[in-house]
Amino acid sequence: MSVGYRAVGWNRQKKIYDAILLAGVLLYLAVFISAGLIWHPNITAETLLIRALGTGALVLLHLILIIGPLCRLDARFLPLLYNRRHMGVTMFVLALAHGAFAVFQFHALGNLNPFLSVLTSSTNYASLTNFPFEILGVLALVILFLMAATSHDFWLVNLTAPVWKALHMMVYGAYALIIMHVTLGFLQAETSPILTILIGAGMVVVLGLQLLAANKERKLDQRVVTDSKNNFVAACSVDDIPENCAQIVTLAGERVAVFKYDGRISAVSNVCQHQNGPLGEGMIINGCITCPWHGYQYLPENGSSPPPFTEKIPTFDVKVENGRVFVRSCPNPPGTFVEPARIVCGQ
Amino acid sequence: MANVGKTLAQTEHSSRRKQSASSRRARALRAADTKNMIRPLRQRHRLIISTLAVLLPLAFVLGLSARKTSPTMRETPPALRPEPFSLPRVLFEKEDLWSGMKITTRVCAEALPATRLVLELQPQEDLHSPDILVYWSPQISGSAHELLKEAHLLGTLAGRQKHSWLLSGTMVQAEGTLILYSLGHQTVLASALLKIPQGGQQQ
Repeated sequence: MSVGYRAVGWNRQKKIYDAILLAGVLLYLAVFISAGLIWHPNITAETLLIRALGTGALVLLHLILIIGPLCRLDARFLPLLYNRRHMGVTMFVLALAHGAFAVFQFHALGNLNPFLSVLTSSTNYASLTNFPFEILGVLALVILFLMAATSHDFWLVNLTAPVWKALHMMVYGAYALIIMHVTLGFLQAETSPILTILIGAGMVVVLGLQLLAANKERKLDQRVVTDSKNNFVAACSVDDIPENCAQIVTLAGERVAVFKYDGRISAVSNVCQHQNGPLGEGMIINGCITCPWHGYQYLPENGSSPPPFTEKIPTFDVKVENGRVFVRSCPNPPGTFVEPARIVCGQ
Repeated sequence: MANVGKTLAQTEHSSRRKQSASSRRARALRAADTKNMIRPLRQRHRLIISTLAVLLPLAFVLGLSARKTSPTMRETPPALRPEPFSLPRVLFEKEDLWSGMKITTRVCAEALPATRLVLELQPQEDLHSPDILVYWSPQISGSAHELLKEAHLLGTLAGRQKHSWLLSGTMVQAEGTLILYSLGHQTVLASALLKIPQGGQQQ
């Protein structure tokens, strides 16, 4: 274990993840280029490369966007989330290469500066058919650059998780821009319905899964336990909580994870300090609450990470009466020790 | 899930970075605010996704409905191409004169000895290079990689219809090289040695 700064904190899981990712990308490019040469033997190498890189980035973007909701809907997908940022950076590199080759192929051989040419070669914004779709790609690339450049714990720590997450929520804007970049660009001249159907299906899957996950979260947020006097409020039954796991309740405007372990009950904020992962969906491993997203750990009784780590989350006063768990509605400052409530036999 | 969590727990901690005391204090102060930020983010996420779920498919369908089909023609319209020359006596006909391209090549004459000849080229498959020009050059080269000097432009070649050009003067008497040149790609597509038999038909 180490708390020293490293550009990438490599471990076995990340290496396996990245190896599979790299192999998948190379395999995709090889298959796309081979199939392209077979179906279109007269296609130029530049065109084939532009298409292979562009579609590769689009496929990866779809994968990235469905991993989040899949994990919210089924915990078996969590391993995919673990190193998703490397997938995001890879997607940006593919998109950047696609853009670079396209600028070179279509804009670099004239008298005008190629980048100026991209921005000014078409200004027919009033027409859908002749819309300058390149601009949409440029804007998406700028967003993807911001996201790729901040895909590191350095930025996560310094921007704070909420700001970082708000920044990375721009991916939905980038997704919309890219879909329209393809629709108003490539699909305008494409006569085969296959690609149109594939892109439409991809959009349905991404938006459908995102809506399903958002709806699940909304239902959880609606189960609010309210109390304005900072009293203990009934949160759940002891029997509702699986051993070494948590029941999530919405209290004082935010989610609280009520954990049961070793005959005791503790309540902490549901929000991990790393990437705001849902601690209540994690488990107690080796005596520590473990975030299901990236494995950050906290002691249940004081919400502090075990030394040498320094992360702290708010704790809540808790008591058990007649098999019911009561939690005080206002949180204690992060890292405050709270005596766990004992579960008495028969309760 | 237990295995996943345990594995991740054992590995991720090793990748955290050291923080200065000041940044730790700053983070501790920010931690309390974090609690109140998450729910608005979730609400914002719901709003973004709901909006996208309505607008993006709509924009996608609008974009597709705006597509215009480009009219295509397999042959050049007669008004755009000259009437082909036609002479009765076939002196030379070959299907495989051009390496890698299926083009029937024919040389026809009115009578012997020939004073003027007609060269006919008829592609047997679509030509996928843009702006193909046909040249004849007196230089002898079966595999020219660039446009030879003193090459005479005969005309254009496109589609699958028969194209014909009148050969006269030195072209009738001498051996020469036929060249297919793509103006769009600025490259020689193929070249072939043309040796016209003076005594009669050669297949």
